[in-house]
Amino acid sequence: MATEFDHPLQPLVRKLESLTILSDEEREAIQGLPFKRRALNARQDVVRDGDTASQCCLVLEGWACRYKIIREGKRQIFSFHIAGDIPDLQGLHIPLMDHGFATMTTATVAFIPHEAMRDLTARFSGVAAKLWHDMLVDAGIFRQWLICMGRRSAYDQMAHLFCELYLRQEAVGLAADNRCSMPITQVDLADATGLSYVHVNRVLQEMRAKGLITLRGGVLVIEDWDELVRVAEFDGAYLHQRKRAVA
Amino acid sequence: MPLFYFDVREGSTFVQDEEGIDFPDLDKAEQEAIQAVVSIGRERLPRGDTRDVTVEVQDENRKRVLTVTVALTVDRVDASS
Repeated sequence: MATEFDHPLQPLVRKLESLTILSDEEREAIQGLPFKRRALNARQDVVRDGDTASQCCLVLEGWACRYKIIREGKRQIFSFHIAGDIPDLQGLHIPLMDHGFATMTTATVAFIPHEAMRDLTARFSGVAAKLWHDMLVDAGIFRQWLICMGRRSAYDQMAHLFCELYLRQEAVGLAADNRCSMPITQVDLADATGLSYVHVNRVLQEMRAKGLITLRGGVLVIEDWDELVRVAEFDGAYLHQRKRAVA
Repeated sequence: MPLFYFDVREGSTFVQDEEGIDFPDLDKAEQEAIQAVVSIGRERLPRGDTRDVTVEVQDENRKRVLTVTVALTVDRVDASS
């Protein structure tokens, strides 16, 4: 958990260090980035579909998601983001946004100018490689979501999502003991899984009845991790977490 | 927006909606019920242990306002006849 002694950009350092190893110089260079800190409301757009991005948005606290709205106002959420993530990092090289990015909860973010990111990555090729690494893992998560949405049952798909969101939070020190924050409504879950709200509700009730998980008040408690992993056919290798790789 | 509850019945299994959800009107709630019953039925019916799935929609007072059912019928022709 963040403490008052942490550097403000510590969540980014912690995220990258969950995936790779940063040298002292690289860590200091990241912490030396200029940024503007902003407190945002829940469900506030940070970048809209069609915008041209000129800065990166690092999540410091709270949850965000990337999404796209199609006809009749239907929304597809395609990723959830937590502290340490830069959901619009791709904007550094392709500034025209082909989707939106919004907060889900009240959030604190740091806006880092593209110019400063470019300068950082030009001076430290290792940092550039590590940000690229992060984006490749991000792409791996998309592949898993695609498999889940296309081929898994609603039950298995949601079990998979809960395994993933728990491990991602655990890796950056935001979760432990099979308990983590999950400030997602059933409508958000429906939009992220491509299921209907009623189907999501039904699956959650079944999971609760089987003693797998409880999801209440924005907190996920995993009652039976091994069984959740088994039904989801979950293999966390795609998250490429250092701690998991060693274990 | 009015609140609606969506209870699901699959054969002998009954799942009650404890939270409910807001919809602009009954038409939108009906659309949701149809989406739900089709997607639940698509997964549930091929398992073979139940032949129908029903979503019952209730208003904020838990009064039933709408029921949607999907049923699977298999009609195998008897080769001996």
